[in-house]
Amino acid sequence: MKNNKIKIGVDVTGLIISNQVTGIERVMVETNKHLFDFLDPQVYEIHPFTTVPEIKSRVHIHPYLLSDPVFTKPLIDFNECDILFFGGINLSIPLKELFNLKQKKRTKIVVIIHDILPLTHPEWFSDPVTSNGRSIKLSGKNYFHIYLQAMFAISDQVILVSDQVKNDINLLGWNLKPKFAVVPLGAFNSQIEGIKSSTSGLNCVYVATIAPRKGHQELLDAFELLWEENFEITLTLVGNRGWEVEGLLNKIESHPMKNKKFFWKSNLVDSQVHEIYAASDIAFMVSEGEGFGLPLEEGLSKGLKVIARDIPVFRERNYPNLYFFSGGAQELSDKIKEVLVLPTKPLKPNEIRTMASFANDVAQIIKLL
Amino acid sequence: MTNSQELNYQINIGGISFERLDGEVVIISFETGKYFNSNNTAADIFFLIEHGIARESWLKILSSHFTTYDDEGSGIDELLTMAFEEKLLLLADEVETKLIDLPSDCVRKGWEPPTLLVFDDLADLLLIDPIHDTSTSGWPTQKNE
Repeated sequence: MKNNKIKIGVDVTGLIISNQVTGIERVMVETNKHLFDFLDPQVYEIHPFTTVPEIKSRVHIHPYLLSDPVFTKPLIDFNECDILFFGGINLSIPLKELFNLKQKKRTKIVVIIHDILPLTHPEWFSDPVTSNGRSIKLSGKNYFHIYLQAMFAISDQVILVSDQVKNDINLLGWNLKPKFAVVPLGAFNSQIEGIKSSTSGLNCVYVATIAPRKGHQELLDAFELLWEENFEITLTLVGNRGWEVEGLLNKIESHPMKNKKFFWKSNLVDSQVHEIYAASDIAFMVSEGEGFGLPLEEGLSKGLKVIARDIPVFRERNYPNLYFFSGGAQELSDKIKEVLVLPTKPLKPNEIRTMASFANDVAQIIKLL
Repeated sequence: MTNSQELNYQINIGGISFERLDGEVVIISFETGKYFNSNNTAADIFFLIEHGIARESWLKILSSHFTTYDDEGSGIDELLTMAFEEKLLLLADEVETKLIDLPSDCVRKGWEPPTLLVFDDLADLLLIDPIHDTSTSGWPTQKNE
């Protein structure tokens, strides 16, 4: 029997296609989990949809992604939805169909934009392999330009995860029609953990994909300075291999401190990452550019001190136990020495923003559509 | 083919999304769902149209910005005809005869014929198999072997 509930379609195309667990997929899954709590089931009905329905039967979906409650609901045709929610990147947007749908049915479209780094820093990204047999070469920047413009063209509401992303978009000088709202992300765990009381040496962790912009090289250089001064301090990198990092990976693999004071862990599950955080004193967020930079909240919420690069997107945060460094390896090394002797300040409940807060804000925006 | 030499155009604002970045424009047609990606010279032509500049002013403007501009064989008519047929442009009600500066968001040297690449589907642009070849480390890279 047909009901009168508002049907929200949650786009899972990106989740199915990437079928990996990186930052954006985690944000999507965590957001969806909370949306079920914040959107009254008497009023809203949430279903997954994909713009490429034929792919679902071809893919064995990653178990973590399947923990997304949206997958417990039947897949729905997006034409049946009143609201379409694009939380990640979908490169298979059926533009004409969506325009028609918006005109005929007044379907509302909500999009999250996590960053526009391929436009602002194209040097950090490889070009996609394009052309489909035609003699056309499209740069990654052009490709992202098309993607972003398409998303803006179909959206009623765009959610940006930081003021940095908003500023970057404003600088494009585009004629933007959708409504924009800045809604910062937050830590995945809602329980703030107690202050660390480690006294047996110092352990540090950096959770980030190994990619050039993430600042691993500088961090490792800073630690080499500390080890040269015989500091009893370890560094654990947690993150999968990215792209264009062959030189850095060679350095990591052959580093004389590897598996002594320096460790690299990849393909870990959440519980393993949690164990590393639990054994650590300081976390880093030394990336040169992010749309948000979730490891910052992750480290703080786990009771660690966090040292972040002094860039505007990280300065948007105002948290205890968060410290900033400017400059290169020497300055970072000096900052580590300064921070490691500072006491960890106690955190109040809800002092670190969580993904539940993010999803709640998203739900409020959806209710206003 | 339409002789567009005498015609003036305006952007079909209601039917397309049209944005410029670093000397190139991307146009998305709401009606056909097609995407268009321009080169620098086509972007400049669209800039002149967007600003309502009459065609009789274009020669002076383009000659002052490009070292080798010549109306004859410029390729502008072909561009305009295509853009009109794709409904990216409409005939203009009103234009102005005046000189303006082109945006300083790209380096201009010799004139190159203006081109618009047309894509029916964003996903069609990728040669990679999106199911098996996408990166573990973020778009738009291919998976590392």
